[in-house]
Amino acid sequence: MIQQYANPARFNRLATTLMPWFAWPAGILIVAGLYFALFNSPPDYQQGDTVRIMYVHVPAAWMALFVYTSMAISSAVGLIWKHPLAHLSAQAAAPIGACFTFVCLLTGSLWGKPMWGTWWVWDARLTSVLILFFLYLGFMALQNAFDDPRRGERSAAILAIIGFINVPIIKFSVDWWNTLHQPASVVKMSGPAIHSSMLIPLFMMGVGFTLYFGALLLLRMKTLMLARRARGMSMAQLHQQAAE
Amino acid sequence: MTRKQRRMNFIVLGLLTLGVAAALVLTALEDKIVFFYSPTDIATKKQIPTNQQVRVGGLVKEGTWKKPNNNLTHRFTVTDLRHDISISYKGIIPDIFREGQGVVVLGKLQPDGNFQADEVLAKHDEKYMPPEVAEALKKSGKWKHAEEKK
Amino acid sequence: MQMISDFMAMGGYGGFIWTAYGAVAFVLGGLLIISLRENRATAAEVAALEANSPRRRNKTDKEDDAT
Repeated sequence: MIQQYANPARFNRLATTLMPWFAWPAGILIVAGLYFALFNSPPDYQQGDTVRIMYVHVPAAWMALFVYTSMAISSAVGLIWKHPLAHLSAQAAAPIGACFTFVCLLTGSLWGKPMWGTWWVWDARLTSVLILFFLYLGFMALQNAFDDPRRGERSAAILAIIGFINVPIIKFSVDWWNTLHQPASVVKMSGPAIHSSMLIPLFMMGVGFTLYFGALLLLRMKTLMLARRARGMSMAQLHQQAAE
Repeated sequence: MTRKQRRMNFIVLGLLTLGVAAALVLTALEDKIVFFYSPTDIATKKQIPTNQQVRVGGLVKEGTWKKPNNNLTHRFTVTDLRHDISISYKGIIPDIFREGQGVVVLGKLQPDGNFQADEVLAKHDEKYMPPEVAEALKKSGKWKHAEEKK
Repeated sequence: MQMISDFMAMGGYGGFIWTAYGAVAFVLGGLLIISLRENRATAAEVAALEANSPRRRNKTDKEDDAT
């Protein structure tokens, strides 16, 4: 059933129809989330107003893991079933994931300085997220490292799958080892340890970021498809010119 | 077996092998990956060197924080509720440094068993709430303190 | 005025908080703008190529070969 969307024109139509359904709710949720995060949520009893950094830091961290997971799954689908859209989706997702990871690291650092007393430490959580950032960069570099784009695609897909081992390590790093980073607050066995007045803006931003990712992924996939088409056409024209 | 199945098995087996290898490596390196030792580690493990910097983490024991007067030296006790270690530190402490809260100090263990810290980092827990809620919880006696939890 | 400056100060942590939010806006907004521009540029490239070698020409390839 999915196979039929491998048809570029059909995918293009579907993506164009779907994009506003992601983009508009994303915009609305992020604006509303920002309003709650900055104006209409309380300061924390320990951390004061710096807790507001959480509303961008934590969703960015979720997205860093979510996008990587989607990239690893697409890569596996691409390698196993050779579905033409799979590698394309991984390729389109990588820069988005890298941006989320970068934002996560940067906002974390800006939160760490006033609260922990340091911009950076080499604990298991921070180090494994930094490795995730390098995995994204490595994936993008590897994809362009070969003359034959198919070889690049395959090599990058293998890296994405190998690197997936880092995702559970990031998630559980705070439970498995002593870290400076605090343990999970939201996704944990005993339920969230965040007051509802803070959980609401957090979820708004989280869903907003997810939809932003969806819209951007479709847009970037469309671009990649167009680029592939342009490549094919200019090749054909070159051949034609050579023949003439 | 089709080629698809073969590729799938290859990837699944590869990931499993990788997972086991990663688990073994991470377990073997556990001592290197932990960010800090607990006071119990310091008290029971012999291999902690006195001549190089290590990190010790735990809770600041209630009622032990002596704020600096003139010589700017903070003194407090870090506890994991089994063992204590007394710390002295000259410098600026983070804003959320509080008694009963988590802390990680970097420094050297002195021969007399005290710990001379060069850096103090505050470690906060996973709870977030407005100040009024924290007050109300404390008043109603529902407050679960980090020390009582363990 | 007082209210605005209090809000900007964020209890003394304004510098950290506003830098964090600014960075998020810059990176995520920048990525969106770059992606939109890339899309437009690539679409224009495809359109130019299509104009250069219209579909019609592909269909008449056989006739071209025959002459």
